[in-house]
Amino acid sequence: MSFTRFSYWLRGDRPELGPDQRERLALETARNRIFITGAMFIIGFCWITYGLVDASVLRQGNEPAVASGTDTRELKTERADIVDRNGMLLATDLPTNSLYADARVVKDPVGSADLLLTALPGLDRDTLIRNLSSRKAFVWLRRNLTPEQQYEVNSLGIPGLNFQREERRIYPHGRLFSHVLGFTDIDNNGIAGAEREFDNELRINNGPLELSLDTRVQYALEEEVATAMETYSAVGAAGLVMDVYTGEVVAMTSLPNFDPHRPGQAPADARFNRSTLGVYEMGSVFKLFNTAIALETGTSTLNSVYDASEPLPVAGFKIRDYHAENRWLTLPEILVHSSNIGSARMAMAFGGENQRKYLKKLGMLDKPQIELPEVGGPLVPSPWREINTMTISFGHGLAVTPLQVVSGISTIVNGGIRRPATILKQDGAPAGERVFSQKTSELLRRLMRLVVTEGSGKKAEVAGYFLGGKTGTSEKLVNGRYVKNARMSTFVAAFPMQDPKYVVLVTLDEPKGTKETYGFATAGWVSAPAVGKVVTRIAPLLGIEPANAKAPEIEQALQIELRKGERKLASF
Amino acid sequence: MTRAVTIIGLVLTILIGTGTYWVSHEVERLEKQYAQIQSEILAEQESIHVLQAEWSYLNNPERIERLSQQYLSLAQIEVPQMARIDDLPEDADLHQYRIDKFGEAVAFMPIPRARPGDLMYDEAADAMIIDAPSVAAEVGGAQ
Repeated sequence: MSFTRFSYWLRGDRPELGPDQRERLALETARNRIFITGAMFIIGFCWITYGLVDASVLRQGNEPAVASGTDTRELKTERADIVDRNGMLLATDLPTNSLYADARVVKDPVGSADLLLTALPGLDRDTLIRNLSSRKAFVWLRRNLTPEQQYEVNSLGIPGLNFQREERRIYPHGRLFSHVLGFTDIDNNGIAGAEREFDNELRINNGPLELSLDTRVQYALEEEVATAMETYSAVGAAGLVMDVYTGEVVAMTSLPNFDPHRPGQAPADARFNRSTLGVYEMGSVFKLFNTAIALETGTSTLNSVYDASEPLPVAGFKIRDYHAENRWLTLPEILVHSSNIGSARMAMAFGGENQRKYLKKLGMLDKPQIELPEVGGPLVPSPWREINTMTISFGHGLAVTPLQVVSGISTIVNGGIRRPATILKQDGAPAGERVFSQKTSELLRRLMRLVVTEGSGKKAEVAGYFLGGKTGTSEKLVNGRYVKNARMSTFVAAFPMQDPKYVVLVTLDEPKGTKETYGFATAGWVSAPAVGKVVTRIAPLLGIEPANAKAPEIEQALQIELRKGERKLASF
Repeated sequence: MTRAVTIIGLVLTILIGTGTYWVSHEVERLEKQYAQIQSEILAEQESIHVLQAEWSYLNNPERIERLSQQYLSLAQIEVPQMARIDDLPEDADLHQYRIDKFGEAVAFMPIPRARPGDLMYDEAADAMIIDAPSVAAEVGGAQ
């Protein structure tokens, strides 16, 4: 088909026909076209009409009876609230107003600056004049004004000054939770503590973040620790309370603390979280882990006796006892008299391999797990020599955080199951990992109780709550040398010992003895009484009833024999 | 005929026009009201939020302790002060009963000591029962 023929065909024309026929054909074609176009319009209008009737007259199945507001707004703060386990508000965003200037509009920078200084005397005059004459469209003058300041500035009527509504992070309890909560910067970014760890979750803001902490317990702990710190002129202190079955941290404090509203003004030492970031050699507290390993591996029983009659020479120095008995000691006696020699001998019996395996299982050799950015990794000896095995048995040569110690003691007393430490409120006990058998755990409970009734922890005793614990005093390492009068005095306790529910730890950094303690600054004198006071205050809050010491089931649960160790004959 | 249709059409147009205008105006008014209520709700939510923060601030244990020391003569509970109900001695008032004239056990409530001339308290308790039917004889009376 040629192009000409195609174009005729397209027009519906047929040049081979006569003029009459061609005219009729053309008319017919036109009529057809009008008819088709009209039909299309009719279909289109019918469709639109149907749509209109459907939308306005007919009722759709899923149509709501009441119109819903498209802009149902709900108050959404920039960051979610943080609440404690009882729903008490710990951190929230409050609206504030900040002052900024549009420097292009400011007429008289110097005059305006002087005028503004009458309302906000804290501002620097030179900076203010520079800012006001900068010709920038936006320059901050002062963030987060109080309503009074805002009113005063507003009433000055300086042109070019405006307020910007902002949100500011507020901590109603001030310093009480400074280390756990952390703080935010001026633009509300979490930069420490839980604020940083949960920064994304808080920004998404799906309801408040529930922590496992209890405000009342936190206050009791902080107050008692602060009192002890002041009494014994310590440079710092740390305190922890943990639920042994869930791993929840119920209270955590580190002193000195800081005001989370003004973290920049606090010295670095105050911002340092001693509970989770500071690693310390915990001293004799480790004897509990050592004893638990010995009982678990079966290299010792409650009746085992060890020679502590003279200092134990090892690799050029001698392991000595602080409260030397200079005789053979049974296993309970080693704990009660806190014998380094006996502990070292016990550790040698089960060996470095076992010690490492169990300490690893207890989480002493890794960074502690907790939802805080400030966690300190332990200082683990490498290589792990025989001498390390011996010194670690009584808590020297391995530096860990107080949090790890509390977790470890929880594992020992709760039946031997390790659960990760957490600052989030838990719903029941999370899955754990068995480290010690139920039997070892029960023996250790009795031994810990014995330390309080007969040993170095006597000053922690609180009638009715059956505390069990262990003291630990270690000399501080400064530049690789032990300093004689700079100690870390730790007391860690669980209660009530017949069915342990909570572990409490108090550590004092460099306490000094007082007249009341006869100059002693060891844990039994300074930290143990603080733990006792904490327990007296928190036990009723945590719903723990004091029990009668004469109750047969308690006597049975805590009964242990403290036999005097005698030298075993070689033939035995 | 044509005129009637024109007039009816005109009237209908005016009616519909006015109606539509009125409805649209009403919707606008309601929407304005709705927006205002919305912003009021938001303002209320904000004040609730601020009040919650204040409530938490007022509940600061340190403050509660200070106020308690200032206004209450209460101190920290000592362990010996706590007791269970079972620890109370057997002959404590709470555990004493007497049999009333219906033969039912009635617990004694601690009541003030009787002054001279007052009825003894078991007599007083009996006297309070008005128009007691004389079942006492059948049941056996007070023991």
